[in-house]
Amino acid sequence: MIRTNKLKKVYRTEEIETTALNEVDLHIQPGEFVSIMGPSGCGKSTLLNILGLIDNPSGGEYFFLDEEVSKYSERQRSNLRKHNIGFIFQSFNLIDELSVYENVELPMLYTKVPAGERKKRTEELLEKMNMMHRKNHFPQQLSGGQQQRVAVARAIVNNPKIILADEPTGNLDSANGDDVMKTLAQLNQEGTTIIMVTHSAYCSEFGNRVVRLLDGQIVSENTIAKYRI
Amino acid sequence: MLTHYLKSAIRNLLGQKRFSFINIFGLALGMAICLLVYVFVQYETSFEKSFKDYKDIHRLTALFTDDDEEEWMALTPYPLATTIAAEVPEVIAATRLEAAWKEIQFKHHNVSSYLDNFAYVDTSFFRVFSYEFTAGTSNSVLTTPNEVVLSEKMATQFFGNQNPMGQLINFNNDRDLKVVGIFKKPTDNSHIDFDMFLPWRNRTSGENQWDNMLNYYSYVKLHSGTDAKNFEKKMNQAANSRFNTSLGEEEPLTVLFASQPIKDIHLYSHLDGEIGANSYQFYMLIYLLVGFAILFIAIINFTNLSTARSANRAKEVGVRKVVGASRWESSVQFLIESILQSIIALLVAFLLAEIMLPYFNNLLGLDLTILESSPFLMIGFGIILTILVGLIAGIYPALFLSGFSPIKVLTGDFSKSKDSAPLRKGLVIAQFSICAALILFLGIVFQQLNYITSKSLGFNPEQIMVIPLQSRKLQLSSAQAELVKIPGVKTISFANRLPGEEMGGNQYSIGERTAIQDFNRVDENFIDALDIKLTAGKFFTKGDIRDSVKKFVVNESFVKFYNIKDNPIGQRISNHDGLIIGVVEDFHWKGFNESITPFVMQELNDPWLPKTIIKIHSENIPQTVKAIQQKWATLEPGYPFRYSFLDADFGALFKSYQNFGKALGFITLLIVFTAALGLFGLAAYTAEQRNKEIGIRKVLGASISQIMFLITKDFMFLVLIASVVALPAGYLIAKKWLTGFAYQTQINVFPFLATIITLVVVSLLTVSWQAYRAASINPVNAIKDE
Repeated sequence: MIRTNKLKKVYRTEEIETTALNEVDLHIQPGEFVSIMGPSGCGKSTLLNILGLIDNPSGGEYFFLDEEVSKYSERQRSNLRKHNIGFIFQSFNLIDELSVYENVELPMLYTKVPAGERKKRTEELLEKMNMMHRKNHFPQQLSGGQQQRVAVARAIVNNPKIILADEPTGNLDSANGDDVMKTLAQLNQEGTTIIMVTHSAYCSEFGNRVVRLLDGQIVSENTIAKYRI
Repeated sequence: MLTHYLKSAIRNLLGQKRFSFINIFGLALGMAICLLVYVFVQYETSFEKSFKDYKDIHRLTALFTDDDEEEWMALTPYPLATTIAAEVPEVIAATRLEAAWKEIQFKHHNVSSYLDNFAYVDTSFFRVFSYEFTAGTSNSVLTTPNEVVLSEKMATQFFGNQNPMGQLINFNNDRDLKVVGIFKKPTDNSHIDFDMFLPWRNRTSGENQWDNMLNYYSYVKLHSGTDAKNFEKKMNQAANSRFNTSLGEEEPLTVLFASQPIKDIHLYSHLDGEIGANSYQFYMLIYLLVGFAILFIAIINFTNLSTARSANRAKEVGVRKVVGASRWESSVQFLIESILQSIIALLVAFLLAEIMLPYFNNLLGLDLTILESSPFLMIGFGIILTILVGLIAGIYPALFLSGFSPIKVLTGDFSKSKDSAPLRKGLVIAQFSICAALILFLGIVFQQLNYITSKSLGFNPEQIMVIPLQSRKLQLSSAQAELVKIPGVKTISFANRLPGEEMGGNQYSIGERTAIQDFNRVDENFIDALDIKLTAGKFFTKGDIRDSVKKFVVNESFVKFYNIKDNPIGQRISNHDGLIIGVVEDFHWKGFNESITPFVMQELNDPWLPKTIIKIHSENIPQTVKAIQQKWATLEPGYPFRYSFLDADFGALFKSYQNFGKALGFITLLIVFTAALGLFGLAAYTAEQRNKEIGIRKVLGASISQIMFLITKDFMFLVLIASVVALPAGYLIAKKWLTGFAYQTQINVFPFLATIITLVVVSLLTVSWQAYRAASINPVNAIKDE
């Protein structure tokens, strides 16, 4: 599903050149739940952003669904992204001016899903996330856990092939964090590929493989024999 | 999707009330002025369009040349139109018109009015001008001398609900006119704006009088596609020799007839003897320019505030992009937002325009309406304006905001994402440049107005009462004897025309030189009454009129023109068989937009009714006027008492300039206000952005005044640059405006200083309030926030 070959990302300012990713080779099969771990600044989020097609690598190759996409334009990446990838962020990133319902519905507007279908899918997901009673509320009126549940609903509403989660539990207490992780594991069980950046060993155990990064390089890859559900 | 965008836009507007208000109110103000300018421009360009084939209707004009002197007149000899109609094949129809030059009493039973809204015309008049008749038929009216056609308004005024056709109206206590037709006034405006048309009574004798009958406007309707130059050539071939022959061979005066499309008269024609005052395209352009200027400033406010607030929208853009929005979709979203604001602004603009309209009408002396006259055009214009404003105001912010990189804004690296500050600074400079140019122009306009109203006229129009005579039965000498007895009355004089009025034109030949000059017929007390200085010779004395040799008193410009400086007194005016007996100092009888030209006074002997000029003492004016009124009732029994004061009448000459000054002042005020509104918003934003910096500075010991200086100095710098950039432009516009005046003020440094000081003070007041608020915060809050 995802394959990178000597993937490289270099940030340049006038005086300093920082290598965020250094020849990263990564291969992810459909249906995997991969956790990316490593200390701050090791390049986890950079890798996730490139894998999520919101950033371009400086070098190397990136095959997404067997297509080489590293040189894709913003428009091409946007097109691929909206049909195939769902995002979950640490800080939820819900749009404050939109209600819970509208936030979940939003990705379908951009994929031109008909109104009736949008309504059906949004309501189903809100029910699933136990947020239906809050559908007309605005993000500021929700707790962190509720916001993240809405964000998860938004991420999966277009039935993406892959979900990218950047520290999805980072701003949540343990109970809410646990809920979110269980939801992700559940989605993975249903066939969705998940790549998650996390600092938490506990969270990583919900996946089936852990990739460790240090200074922009993969230093280890471990399969988790028996992961949590 | 559209519903989604609209919903999102409305929530954003409500979420940022202050900025939304500044954006929408600023745009509304700009659009309101545009709506007003639009109705004004529509009015100015609407003239003559109601007439069928108006593009083929031309007015004939006459260019008189005498050596190097030229005079271009709207008036033409009486036989011109008929001659051309008979001899130039391009002419479909020709007609003449003589406008009423004084008020005449019109009476029907007990309805009596003094009116000057009538004109004498040929039978063919309605063949040239397609008036719509609601009674009678246009091709069969005015065939006999005592007929009249009326506008619907006049018909109602005289006859109420009765059928006016066939009814009689008494004209000047002299003859009865039979109503033979009722016409609808053209829906569009026309330089021919009369409510009554009547035929001449005894004009057939004038058919061969080319030389001294310059009282007629001649109009022709030409075959479509006629080449104007070719037509003029043929017209001169037919008419020139007749005119010159009538003058005699020794005359150096030559005439060249020309034609002008009637559609060009209102904006472009300023010939001698126009029917009424025409407009100037320059003024229309100025109004258009300021209309666009204020809109431009409001649009800049919009752009500036939208980009300044981009940080607030960055996260939204980032999230939308991550979940699938393309840059185009994000741009459309922001454009819809700006168009929505523009639509709200348009509704407010209609309201503001209606509120401002009476003031605007008053200044322009017009009766414009916003929606009544052509609602569909107006609404169409409003819609186009809204979409254009929405797109222009929104395009840059839309591209700017939609260009955010999601990765940067979502990872909090927004500050490096985009920097629109240099553009904002440039736009603020552009806004204040416009303000500076306008303020300077306004300053110079007021300086000029002050100059022309305080400059010595060469005569004294104060405490001069003017009473038009209405009855031929009045004996001037006995009236004078009676009136002068009234306490408070100083001098009584009679004259055909007064300063500020259109003077008559006559030819005068001295030696080799012949030219048409302005003249007036006055009695022996004229220069005493008006305080005009005699510089040589003497003025008329009673009884001069009976002398066999005609006597003339001329002004100094006349002496210069005919080059008789050495010995003006006793000079013979050959074509009148008369002598110059006196010279008066030049005086401004035309106002200050025209130079003083040669001027001749002849003794009053006219069959026309002159005006009574009464110089009164400055004390007890009401009592004096009342006493004159009582006396007048015995002098002209049965006629209403009508009077005016010369200073007010003459002041009307300046009124259009004063009104222009006021209109410009009003619009400048709005423009500066709009620019200040934008600056206010930007200052608020800057203060908000620098909250943390201000907090830290305060913790480190900065005083409120130091913080205020920190925030205001950047803005002041921009405003100063704007002033320097714009002053030359303002100066050039003012110079161009001043060319309309024969007498111009010397532009000094004062308006320049006033402009800079005004702008600095306005912007200082605007910014310092925000700066003070920012500087007064509790630093702990600012730092804690971070």
